[in-house]
Amino acid sequence: MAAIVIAILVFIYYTIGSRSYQLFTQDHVSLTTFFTSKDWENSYGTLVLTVGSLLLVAFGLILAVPLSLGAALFITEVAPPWMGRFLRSVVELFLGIPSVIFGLVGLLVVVPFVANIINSIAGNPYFTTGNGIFAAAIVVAFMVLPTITTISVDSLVAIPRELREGSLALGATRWQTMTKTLLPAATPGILTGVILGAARILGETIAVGLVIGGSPRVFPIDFIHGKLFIGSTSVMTTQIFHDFADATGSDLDAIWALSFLLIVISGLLVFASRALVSRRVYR
Amino acid sequence: MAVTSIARSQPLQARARTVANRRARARVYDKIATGTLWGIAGFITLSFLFVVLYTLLQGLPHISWQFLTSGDFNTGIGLQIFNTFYLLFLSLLFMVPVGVGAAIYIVEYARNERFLRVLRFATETLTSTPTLIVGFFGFIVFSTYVYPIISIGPLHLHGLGLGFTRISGALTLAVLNVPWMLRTAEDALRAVPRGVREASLAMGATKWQSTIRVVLPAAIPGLVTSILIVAGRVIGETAALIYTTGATSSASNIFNPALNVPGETLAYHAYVLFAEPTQNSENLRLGTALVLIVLVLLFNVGARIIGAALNRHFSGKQA
Repeated sequence: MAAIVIAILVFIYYTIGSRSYQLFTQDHVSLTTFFTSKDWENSYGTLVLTVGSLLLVAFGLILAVPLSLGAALFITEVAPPWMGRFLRSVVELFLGIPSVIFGLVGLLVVVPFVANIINSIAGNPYFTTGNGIFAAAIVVAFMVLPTITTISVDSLVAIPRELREGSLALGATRWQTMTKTLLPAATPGILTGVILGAARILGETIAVGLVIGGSPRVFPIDFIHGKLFIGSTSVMTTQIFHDFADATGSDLDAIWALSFLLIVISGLLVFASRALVSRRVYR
Repeated sequence: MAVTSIARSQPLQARARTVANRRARARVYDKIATGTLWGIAGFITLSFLFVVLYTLLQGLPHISWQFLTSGDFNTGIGLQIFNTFYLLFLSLLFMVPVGVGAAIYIVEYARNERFLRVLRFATETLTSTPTLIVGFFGFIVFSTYVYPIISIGPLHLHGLGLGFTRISGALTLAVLNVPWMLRTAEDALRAVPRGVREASLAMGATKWQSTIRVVLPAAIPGLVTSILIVAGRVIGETAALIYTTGATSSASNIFNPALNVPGETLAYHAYVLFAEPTQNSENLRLGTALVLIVLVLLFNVGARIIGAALNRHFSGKQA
């Protein structure tokens, strides 16, 4: 039974991986083109999509990490026990909400909200529709917040009492204790949560697909139209998802190659998080 | 350097004053930080309430008896509700034996540290693999026949060719959620106190007898919790189903347990209604989202309630 789980994983990597190399052998697409060209539709360059995914991960984490750490510190250090338990339940229920619900709230609330703000700054009601990396980052930030929070709570709880008491006895305030003692002690655990959060953002398809707009031609770092991060664009998952339905021949090979790149990156992220776990001092 | 020497040369009183100032400032920072943390906690709670209440309030006007029971996708989601529960049932049928079996092995039997490390890495990688890719895997292995999965010389191992059907969808969901089942079942088994096992072994039961007759029954409330948590994930899944379980089918398939017909679930249906709007989708999509979020919350809240009851049961406290 346990071996089945390992077999499934190997099998997934094998089925996707064994198809991905055809793009470079049969279809004669060079690796350089694959990684550096911005033209996905004609020459299978993935730069727009990989940069889009990286930006999405980066922005999502910038929004999610402070909130998650704040929530984790609140739950373990500040809140009265019943309230900590309550917030923990809220965070865990948040984890259960399906991505399609996040997508619809993103589509109906976040996208118009972003459009309103940007358009009123730009003084042009038709400047942007609100789709793009920025709106998607807000949505995925809420999706990974529970992941990062629960793992951070676990690693904060694992810190022995003596560390807290020692710091407070030396005259440190509660905030000084948190920033100078507890957070450094919990860092490996927190980083594990952040990395797993990054993997989740990278792999999210449905919610991102509903808010990002979906144009594979627009480089997300586009200064020309002044639409930095707010133009309709596409990331790895949404493009794979969109193109797969009617892809054949070399188009399909390109999708396998991109899919394999995606799971290799996500596998590496998990590997990094495992490496950090072994560095944890307090468990 | 100059600053320190000036500070050193200050009279004692002045130095005491700077220390006091610094303490006062630290206390102010502490107050600000505490306030901010309260703010973050409030913000997260409010945004959760917003997501749930927004979905509920937007969807409520669209809910009617006909909407909930009609099998015709132009007027209702009865078929999708049926499919959701049917696929959930089917996927649990595959997933529970493997997940719980593996968990029993890990908790009760496994001694090989290296194998456990590999297994833990595998589960973690599998839970972090994009569900879309697991969907492709299901597409190649379960849905289609055309792609040879493994070719060794003239030998080709093909996919099962089950088509875009309920069974393909259920098998894909099982593959996707087996690591979650394993992880939550492992927690449930570990929650059974050591003493229970030791008592059984001391009475002369074999390892297998005590696992099946003592540990497993004691873990049942925990296992129910873990199944409910996984069920919440299963019914919310979309990306893995789009290329495996197929789109809408005839209304007559409601309450028809056939495995070889398309089995579009609620989450999948909601996604299609939002992503590819038609004339009718405006009326249907928010109602579909409402039913989905209600079901997911029921499963998750149910899991928490049973989990809490279990905790009381094992800790011996009366409510």
